[in-house]
Formats: sequence, structure tokens, C-alpha cells
Amino acid sequence: MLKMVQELLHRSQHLVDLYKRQQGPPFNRPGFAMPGLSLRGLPEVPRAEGNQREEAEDDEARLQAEHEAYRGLAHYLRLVLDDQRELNPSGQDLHQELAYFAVNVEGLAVNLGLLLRALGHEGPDGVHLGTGLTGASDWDKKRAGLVVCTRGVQWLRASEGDFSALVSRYN
Amino acid sequence: MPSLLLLLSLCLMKQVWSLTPLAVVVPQDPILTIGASLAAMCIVNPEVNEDAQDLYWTLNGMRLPADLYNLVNNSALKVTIHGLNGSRQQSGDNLLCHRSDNRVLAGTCLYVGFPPEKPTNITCWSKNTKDLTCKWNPGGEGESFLHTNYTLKYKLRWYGKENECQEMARAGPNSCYIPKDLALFTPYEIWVEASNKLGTAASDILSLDILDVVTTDAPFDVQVNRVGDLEDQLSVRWSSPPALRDFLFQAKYQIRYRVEDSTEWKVVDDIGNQTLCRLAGLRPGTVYFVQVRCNPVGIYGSRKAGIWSEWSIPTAASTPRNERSSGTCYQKSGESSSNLRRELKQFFGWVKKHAYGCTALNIKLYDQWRVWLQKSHKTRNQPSLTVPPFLFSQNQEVAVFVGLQEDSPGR
Repeated sequence: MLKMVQELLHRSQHLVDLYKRQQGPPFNRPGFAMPGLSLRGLPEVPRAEGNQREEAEDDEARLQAEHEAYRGLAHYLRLVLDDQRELNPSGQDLHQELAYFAVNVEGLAVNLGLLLRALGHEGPDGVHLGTGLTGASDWDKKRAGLVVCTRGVQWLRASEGDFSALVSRYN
Repeated sequence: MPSLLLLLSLCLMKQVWSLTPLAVVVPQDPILTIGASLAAMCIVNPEVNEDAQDLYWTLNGMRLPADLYNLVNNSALKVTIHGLNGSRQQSGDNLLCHRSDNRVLAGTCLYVGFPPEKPTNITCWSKNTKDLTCKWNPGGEGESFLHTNYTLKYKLRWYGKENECQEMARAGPNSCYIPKDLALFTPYEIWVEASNKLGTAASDILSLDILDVVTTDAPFDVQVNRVGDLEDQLSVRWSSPPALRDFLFQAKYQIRYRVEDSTEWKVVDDIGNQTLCRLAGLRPGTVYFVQVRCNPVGIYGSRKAGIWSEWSIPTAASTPRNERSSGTCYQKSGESSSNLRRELKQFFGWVKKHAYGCTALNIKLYDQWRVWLQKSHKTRNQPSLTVPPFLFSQNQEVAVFVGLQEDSPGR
């Protein structure tokens, strides 16, 4: 799983850059910032003080948080892909990259679920994820897509740290 | 009015995002033609402590000048843009409302362009009567700046439902491929519909019978060889496309060839349905590239020609080095025929044997010998030659003639 996370993280910056380029300026300008956005089922990575994740946080609690985040991320990546097929119909590179991430993030979520079950945890409650961006404007879809991609990168970075720590602790 | 719009927009966004937006831009996703004007309003959420006079607008990241702004009230700022250019990207131009610290409050996507032009010049072809590929010209001289969808539609002329071609871009952009279920001996109507956010356009209807637009595979296994030591000739041999056998086609062929370092092709047209040919009049010691193509004729008994196939993969060969002669490509006959070299060899052999001291050759003698051969109806493959009577009768003349040559040892 660590290798999968590292592979996705390695490609994630390309996804974000590609996404920004397809939406047009000012998305691809340095320093472009979007207001925060709440996506049900895909929270921001929790940060303790000093922007570091709490050392004392239980490993299993982190794994559960990551499991739920990746379930949400896979779901939203598919919605973003649907939106981009309408907004940028010729953007085949972006569509392929979004599809690649959606499939592999879902795989990551499944693996985490199996691991948690092996540790004796039941599956998460049926979290009601966002049903999509129906009715949202094209601007909102562009904006949401960027938030989904960048939030995904944040979670992958957090998981790389967590999984590396677990590997070194238990090997 | 602005407060009602804000209320509606805020309600919608709250359902989708679970967050109260800071502001909203109206209209959302406007669609305009190039050169049109747009008035947009940024309406700030009253719960946000933001004065509209501190806001500013950008279009595709470029700040819009303040003289385009109109402060409606302390929570709404309007911008009016005249003479809009075509959209920079398919997903629309980004018109954003910022607060003074550059943070984006809200935005909208503008779609500016032209309605689609009428597609033109639909051309179609069928490979071996099995399928149909069509290409078209999108029409117009420039782009529409908006993503335009093209749909190729077809139906049987007098009845039948409309079908849509599914496999787009199989033969390049603005093309579509219909792989199967096509009727023969009956006309189809084919047309292309173009649509974008500003409207639709349809091409003229093309009517055709599949059998009128048949092409086939290129000839294969093209072999190009030297013709003995002849420096100005190459022989070309090829295999006919297998599909010809299945569809009662005959075929006619064309060859084209060029010198290696030239871009100018010469085309040989008068080949008919032979699968071998000889190129003549070539340059000695030169590499030539040769290609062959095929046209199916006589499809199901019709006399109409079809559409030329693609050219075969180029085959290269070189002529031996010597002088050139001129000529055109001619067909080899069914029986084996001798060539100039074999005739000369036979003649020289005869001369050595029968004309003593003839070390110097005389072309007049050769011409006389040729004339004699034709008159006596001798086949060119006879292993031995009888001495032509004119040479016997002229033997002394020949000897004398040769002896008259200054360097002749037989003198």
C-alpha cells in the first residue's frame, strides 16, 4: 500500500497541473487561491498545532480516517471526471488521468478496508457522499474539481508519512 | 432584484456545498456571440463583512479597469464589458469577483463564439462493400471558439429510421466509421449535423449507393527486380488484394515510381489487370521507389470503376549502371520472349564461330541479322543458329567489310 500511495503521490502533481491548465487562467497562475470548500465525505486532512499530525493519534484511528477519505476521494474524482467531460470534451489527457486516479484511489480504499477488518474493525457507516454537482454552475464545477484534486494530494502526503512510520515500526 | 437573485443563488449553493458562499456572480454561464456586450454583477453575502466598492473583477486572470465598474449598492458591484472576443478555452472564460486581498469571492464562465457553420464536402468510401467511412469539412474559414459536436447521420432513402454514426474520428478528425449492417443496391442519405452552445447547422444531404464508392486493399508483396543487365529497366510484380476474389471484382492497377532523392512521381496508367509490368526508360545506376495501387472494377457485374486503394508500401530497387534508353512501360506477353541481351549474345556467339577474325563488331551486320530472323520466323530460343543465307552469300563481303577495318586482324 505504501508503494501505491507513493506512485499516486508521484503522479498527483501532474494531475493538478493538468487540471489547472485545462480550466484556463487564473487557475494556472502561481499563487492562485480558492476559498475553502466543504465536501461531505472528503474533509481536509486534520492538522494539530504546528501543522503536524498528532504523534499520539492512534494508528488505527488514522487508518480509519484515511479509509473514509479515500472512499470519498474516489467518489468525487468520478464526479469531477463527468464534469470535465462536459466542460473540456477535448481534454483526453485530463480525463485519462482522472480515471486513473479514481480507479487506484478506490483500490487503495478497498485495501485499507480489508486491513481494518483484519484488525477487527467493522466497515464504516454508510456515509452519504455528495450526490454530485447537479445544478451547480460551470464555475462551481471547475472550482470543486480543483479542491478535490488538491485535497487528494494532501491525503496522499499524509498517508505516505503514516504508512512509512507503520512500516518502520512493525518491520 | 439583486437581493432575490442572491437569495436564490445562496439557497442553491448551500444545498450543494454545505457552505454559505461569500458571494455570487450573475448571470452564471452566459453564452454570447463574438462582439457582444455583457453586464455581470457580483453580489456579496450580507453576512460577509465586505464592502462592494473594495471589490474588483478579472477576466481570464487579467484585471478589468475600474471604469467598467458600476457600484450598484454597498453589496453589489456591476461590470460591463463590450466587444467580447472568442473564448480562450473550451470550458469558458473565467470572470471572477475578487476582494481587495485578491481572494476570489465568486465567478462565472463566459462562452463567447459563433454558431457552427454548415458542414460541407462529405465524401464516403466503402472497403470491399463491408463498411462505410465518411469525412467532411467543418465549414467556415475560422473556428467558432466554442466546442462543436458533429454527428453523422444516415438512413435508407425512401424508408428506414435515422441512424447515428458512433465511431467518430476513425479516419482522422471530422470523420466517422460505420462498421456493418449496410445494404447494397439501394441508396442511402447521409448528412452531418453540427451543434454548439450557440446553435446548430446541417450539411446538404449526400445520396449514394455503397457499391458506387467501393475501394479495396492495396496490392501486396510488390517485388521490383532488375531485368538482367539492362540498365534502363526494372520489372515489377505484385499480388492482387485477396478481397477481389470474394466480391467478383476485377481490378485495374496503377504504378508510380520516383528516383530516390526526388519527390516527383511518374505514374504508369496503362497496366490493366496484369500483376506484372516492366518499367523502361530509367536512369542507369539509380535507386527507384515503386508503389502500386488497385481500383476494383466490375463490382457485381457493373462496369463502373471504384475508388483507388491506398498505394502499396514503397519497394526500392536499383538499375545497373550503364547508358540509358528510352521507352515506355509495356506488358509482358503470356509466352516468354527473348530480350535484347540474349539476342546479342546469340549473335556474338555466331559471329565468333562463323566469322573468322571478326573482333570488331558491326551493328549493320546485326541489323541485317535481325531482319533475316524475322523473315525466316525463327524462334528466339533455338539453341543453335543456322547461318543466315545473306551472310553466307555476303560472307566475303562481311570478311572484306570487317577486313576493311584498319585494326582488324583478319584483314
